[in-house]
Amino acid sequence: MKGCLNENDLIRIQQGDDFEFAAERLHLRKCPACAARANELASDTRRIAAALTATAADSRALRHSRRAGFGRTAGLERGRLRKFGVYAGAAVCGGTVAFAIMMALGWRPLPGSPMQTARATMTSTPERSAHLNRDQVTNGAAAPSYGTVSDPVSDVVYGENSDLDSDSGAASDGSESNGELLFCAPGEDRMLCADSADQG
Amino acid sequence: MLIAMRNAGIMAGNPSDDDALYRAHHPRILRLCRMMLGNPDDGDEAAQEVFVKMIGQRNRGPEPANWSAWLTRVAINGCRDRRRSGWWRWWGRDGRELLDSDLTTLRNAEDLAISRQEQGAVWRRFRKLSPRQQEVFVLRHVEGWSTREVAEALNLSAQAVKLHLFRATHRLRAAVRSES
Repeated sequence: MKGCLNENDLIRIQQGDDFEFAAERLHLRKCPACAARANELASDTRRIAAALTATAADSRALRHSRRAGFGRTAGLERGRLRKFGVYAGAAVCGGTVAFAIMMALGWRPLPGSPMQTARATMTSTPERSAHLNRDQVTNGAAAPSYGTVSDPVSDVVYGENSDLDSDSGAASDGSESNGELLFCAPGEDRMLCADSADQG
Repeated sequence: MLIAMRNAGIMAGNPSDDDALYRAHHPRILRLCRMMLGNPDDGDEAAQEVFVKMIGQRNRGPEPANWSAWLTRVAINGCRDRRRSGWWRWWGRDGRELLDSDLTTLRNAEDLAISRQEQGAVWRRFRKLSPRQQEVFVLRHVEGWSTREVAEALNLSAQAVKLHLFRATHRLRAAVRSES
C-alpha cells in the first residue's frame, strides 16, 4: 500500500467487514494522521445517526417539516398543485364557453328531460288530486290527494291514502281508514297509482 | 392499540407476549418509520400497521426466529410501499424540508454536541437521499446492523449495500462538514 488513505478509502474501510482491507487496516494502526481521520469519520457517522434519531423522535420538528414541505417544495414549487389548478381551471373555462356558445346558438334543454318531468309532477300533482276517491286511485285515474310526497329523483309520487275524514278517521265512503300507502308514477297521459295492498 | 384489538377479539395469541413484543420494539419501529417517512402522522400509522401484521403473523405462525429483524423488515417494506403509492408521490410528501428554528433542544449528552443547524442540515440532506440509500444508512448506522444483515433484509447484494452506504455517508458527511 502506498501513502495515506483518502476519505473514500476510509469510508470503504468503515463500511466493510473486519476481514476486508487488511493492508489498509494495518496502515491505520501505524499512521496517526490516518487514524485520526478515521476517528473523525466515525464520529461524524455517530453524529449523523444521532441527529436523525433526535429529529425522528421530535414530533414537533417533523410536523413542521411536513407543513413547510407541503407549502414550499411539495406543492406549488414542484408544480403538482399548480398543474392541477391549471387543468381544473381550463376544464371549467372550456365548459362555460361551450355552454355559452350552445345557448347563443339557440340550444335549450329538452322539454322532456327528467328534471322537467319531475318538476311538472311536483307542481301538478296536488291540484290534480285534490279530490280523490278510492275508486279513482284504484283505477289509476288520478294521483293521491293529501300527504303525498313527490320524489323528483325517482320520478315517483307516494303517500298515504288520505281520502279520509280527518276528524273521525273514517273514509268518506263510510269505510274505516286502512292507512294504506299509495305509490304513483306519471304515465303517458295520467298518473298510475297503486296502494300498498296491491304492491304486496 | 393492542388493548383495543384484544377487546375486539382480534388477538388469539398470548397477550402478554404481544404486549412484551410491543413494548420492546414499538419505540424503535416508530422512530424508524418516522425517519423513513419524514413526518409523525404517517410514521405512527406505518408503525401501527407493522404491529397489526405482527399479531397476524403470531396468529398464523410460524413465528420468526428474530422478531426484531422481522419487524424492521416489515417496517421498511411498509414505508417503501407508502412512498411508492400514487397519492404520496402526487402530493410530494417526500423531500420536505425542516426549519432549524423548529428543532427542539436535544436531550442527552451526545445529542447536545449537535447544533440545531447541523441537525437540520443532516435531516435535509437525508431526505434528499434515494429511498434505498436512506434505508441502508438507517439500518447500518442507526439500527446497527451488519452489512450482510442489511443485504438480506433488503434483498440486495453486499456490494450494492456498500455502494449505497458509501454514497449516503459521503453526502451526509458533507452536510455535517459544511455546518461545522
